[in-house]
Amino acid sequence: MFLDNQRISFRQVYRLYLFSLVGISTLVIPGKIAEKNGVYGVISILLGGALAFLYLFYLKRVAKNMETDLITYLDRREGGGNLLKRGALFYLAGSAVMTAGYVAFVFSKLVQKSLTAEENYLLILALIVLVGGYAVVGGIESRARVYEVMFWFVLIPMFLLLLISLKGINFIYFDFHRAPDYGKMLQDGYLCFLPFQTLFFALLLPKYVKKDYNRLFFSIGLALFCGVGILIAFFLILVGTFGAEALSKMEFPAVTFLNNVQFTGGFFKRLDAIMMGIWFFTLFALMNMNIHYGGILLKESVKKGGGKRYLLGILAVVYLLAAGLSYVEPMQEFFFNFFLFFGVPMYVLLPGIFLAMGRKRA
Amino acid sequence: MKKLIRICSLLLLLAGCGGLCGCKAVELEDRSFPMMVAVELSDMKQTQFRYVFANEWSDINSYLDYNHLKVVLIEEEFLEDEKKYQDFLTEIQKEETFPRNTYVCVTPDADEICDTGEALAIDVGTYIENMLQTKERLEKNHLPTIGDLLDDKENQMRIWKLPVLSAKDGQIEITDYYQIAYGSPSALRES
Amino acid sequence: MAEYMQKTKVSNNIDKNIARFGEIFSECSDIKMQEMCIGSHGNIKCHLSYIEVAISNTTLRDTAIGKALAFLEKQNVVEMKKQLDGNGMGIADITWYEFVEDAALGLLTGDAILFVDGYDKAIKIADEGYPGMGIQEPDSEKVVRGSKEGFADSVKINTSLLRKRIRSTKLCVKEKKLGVRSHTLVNLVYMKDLVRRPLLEEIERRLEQYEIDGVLDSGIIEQLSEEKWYSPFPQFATTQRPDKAATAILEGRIVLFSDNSPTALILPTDFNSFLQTSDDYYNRFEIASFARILRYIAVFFAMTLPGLYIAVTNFHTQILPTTLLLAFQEARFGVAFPAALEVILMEIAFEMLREAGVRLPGTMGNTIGIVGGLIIGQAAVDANLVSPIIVIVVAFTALCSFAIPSEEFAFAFRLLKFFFIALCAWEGYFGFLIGIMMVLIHLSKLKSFGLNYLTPFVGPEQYKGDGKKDAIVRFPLRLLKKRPIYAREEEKIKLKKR
Repeated sequence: MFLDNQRISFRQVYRLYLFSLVGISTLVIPGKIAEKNGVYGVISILLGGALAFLYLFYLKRVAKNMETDLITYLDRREGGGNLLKRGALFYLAGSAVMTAGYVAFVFSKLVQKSLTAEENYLLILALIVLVGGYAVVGGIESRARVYEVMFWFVLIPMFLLLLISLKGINFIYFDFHRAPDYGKMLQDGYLCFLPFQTLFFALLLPKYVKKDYNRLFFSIGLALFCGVGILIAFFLILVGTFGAEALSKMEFPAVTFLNNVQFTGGFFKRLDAIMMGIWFFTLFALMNMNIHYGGILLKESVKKGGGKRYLLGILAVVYLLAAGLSYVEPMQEFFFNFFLFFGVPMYVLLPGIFLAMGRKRA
Repeated sequence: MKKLIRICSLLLLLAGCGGLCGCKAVELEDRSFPMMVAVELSDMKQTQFRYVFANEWSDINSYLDYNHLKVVLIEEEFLEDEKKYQDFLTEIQKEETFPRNTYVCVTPDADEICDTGEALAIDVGTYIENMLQTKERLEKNHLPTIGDLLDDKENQMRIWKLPVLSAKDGQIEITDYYQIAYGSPSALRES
Repeated sequence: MAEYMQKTKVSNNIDKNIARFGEIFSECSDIKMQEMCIGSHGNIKCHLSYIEVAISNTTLRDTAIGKALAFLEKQNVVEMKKQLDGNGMGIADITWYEFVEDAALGLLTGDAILFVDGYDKAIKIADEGYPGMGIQEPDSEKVVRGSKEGFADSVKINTSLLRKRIRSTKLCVKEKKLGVRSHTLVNLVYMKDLVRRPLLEEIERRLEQYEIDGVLDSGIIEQLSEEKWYSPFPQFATTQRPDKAATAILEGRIVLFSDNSPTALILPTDFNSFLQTSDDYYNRFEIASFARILRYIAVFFAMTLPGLYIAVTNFHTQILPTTLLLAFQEARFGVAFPAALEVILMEIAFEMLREAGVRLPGTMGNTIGIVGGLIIGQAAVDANLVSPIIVIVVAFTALCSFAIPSEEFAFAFRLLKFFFIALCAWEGYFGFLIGIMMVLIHLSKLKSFGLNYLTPFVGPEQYKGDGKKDAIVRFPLRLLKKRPIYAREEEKIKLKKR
């Protein structure tokens, strides 16, 4: 009748990815890279972006060689019972769920800080996780449609925000005389690559799109390009508005920045609460993406029926992780170090390992 | 049995949410909107605040909503004690009490400004804000805000000139500028 | 659940037929039965049965029954059967029944049943039929420009109104009977070459899904055929306007009529189609586009304005300018209720006023709006039960919901408004964002016969029509060359320059 096949278009892929990449990177990265290198932090972003493009290119090669999505490829090559394959998928599911938990934590903290100052963190988290679960239940097509509709409602205010804030930039803060710390620059480059780890899920996408790897990876590449561009714009504006040292001390500089933006001549005094919607939808997209793929990977690794049970289980784990991150401070450092030293390297190594495993069998 | 489990789970969830409970709203009429906060030293040399509200019925004991704060007026005497000044900035940064776009001014005598303000048609905070915005528009320069001072506390890169306000013939005027250089009060004036 | 388990064949012996007929319609004083003699020698018994008001006076020569009887009076016994079998009477609408029970059901359609002695079939002869309301202007879908005709209660009249507008041999009408006891006639009207066959099969399948006693209105069919019955959003469009139904058919959609209901159902439907009116196409594109944009804004505010008011005044006072905020604060002094409760009370009061206005007859219904809105609203403000701002917010919200062309669609937003009020009272703007997200997620999953509800804003890969040119903004008519998504892929072009 009408197309209803849990498949999405390349335009929807682009929009889903752009939302996922922009949210957490603009929130967390600028504060972390400004301290040592100031405005030269933009080089770190470019380095991180370059790494991300290389990673995407590598994933494209892997996907083309697999000729199908990762799960179908492993099923065909390794069969259902292979312990190594199931272990790897279980690990990937866990990694996705951990990412979702971390994003949920950041999301809830952000909402608590900027929208509902006196509200209970756990309640905010519960609402976010439950609505996230509701979004995932409809499948990838449903999520894609939501973000297709929200795309211009989020992007246009974001660009307006960036444009309006240009006049608040003080070029004195672009301290080009500062000697950059090249070692830190490289470290920060890798740090800037961290938010782009979700590119890995491109290997699961061929199941949901038309079989055209060039167009698929072009769409993701375009989202990455725009995401890096937006991150650079945000970083420069934030450095220009606050200065590097002040920026590095802020928890969510993008949100503090919203408090600074003055809409002169407008009716509304401050639109910081309304502009928060940008991060609401982008963080939501990232969290949902990880919950969605975490569920799929978990189901494939365990190979038992009962779709909704996996989702409920994942939501419970995401909730507990995010709650733990808030109340147990060492957990935050653990998470961060896990992604930095193990999580992201595994996302890089595993596709190659899967390909090699499959080739060996075949 | 399945239905019973589902109902019990739902009730448990609702009860749990009931414990977490939202509804932290404060009604509009229960809020007081300070338009200006004067920061000064008490007789015991402690930091104290004096509030000027938007309307007569507001008081310090109700919920203070700083979202519409226009001006923070710091007494010169307060600025002479650098430690007190830095502690003040640290406190407002941590608590995020004052909005970042609130103007900052200096005065030799905060009480004089507040008393003169009582005779004005509008609250003194709005009056001073209008005066400063007009000055910014005419002279095309940016006057410092709380956000600027907080940033400079970390950056220590700029020299900010805080307008010094004095009361004269029932009017409030900018008579001078007080320098905050590289994050510290410099006790220097333009004149 | 068939009404009659056993059927009796029509006998050559008229007395047996009369006895069985009488048994079926025992205790029915409105069913008239007349015995007569026809034939050239007046020796052939016949029996005419009819519903009292459904048949005009049978002695009038101008009715089909009268002419049939007059014709049969001249026939002899030998010729009678031949003439009856071959419709020698020349009646346009005639049906033969082999079973008495079928003849009884035929009588209940409003026509007359004739038994003739020695003839083994019963004959149904059409006449005036049941009394019904004629064609009137629809009271709910008023337009400034366009036809003022509306559908009537009779499915036959409604179908003919469509035929009047689409004089094409490809316009098809499929008849169905629904309701075990009501035997309600339901017509599916569509264009043979435009409609997607799976869609037609799907609606037919859904109509057969339930066995129900009676179908008294198209609303019952709508509720039983919907996929997501719990959704506040309707999955069928409804209309009382023949021009709107005709437009839908020409787009490749199916129109469903139910006897005794002036409301036609259109399927499939989507979000955008509820915000389109007939006169959007009769007016110039600037006017139509402006009206459409207003409707989209109305939809947003009808759902969210009271909630946003609570969010801004109770949680995010920094959004409003200081003078306005202080004015709101002053207006609220002395009001006994918290803002959220105030909003809910006023909204409920307004909904009651609206309901009362609908139920009260004629001018009283108009008066209640003035009495309720002005006097009660003003009195409530004077008594410090509510603040004046709330009256404005509630009134504007109501205006926005009135601006939505489809009442069923507007009702969804009227319900969701309370959901948003609760969320915003609970969590402020965060609650508002959660609400928007939930509504969007629900709409993204909602389908009407396989068509996603958010069409044409989503799913570009399946969309080869001009739906986006006829969405929030209506492009000039000469640029709307393709049909929207409803029609078959190979029949997309609807406008071409010669």
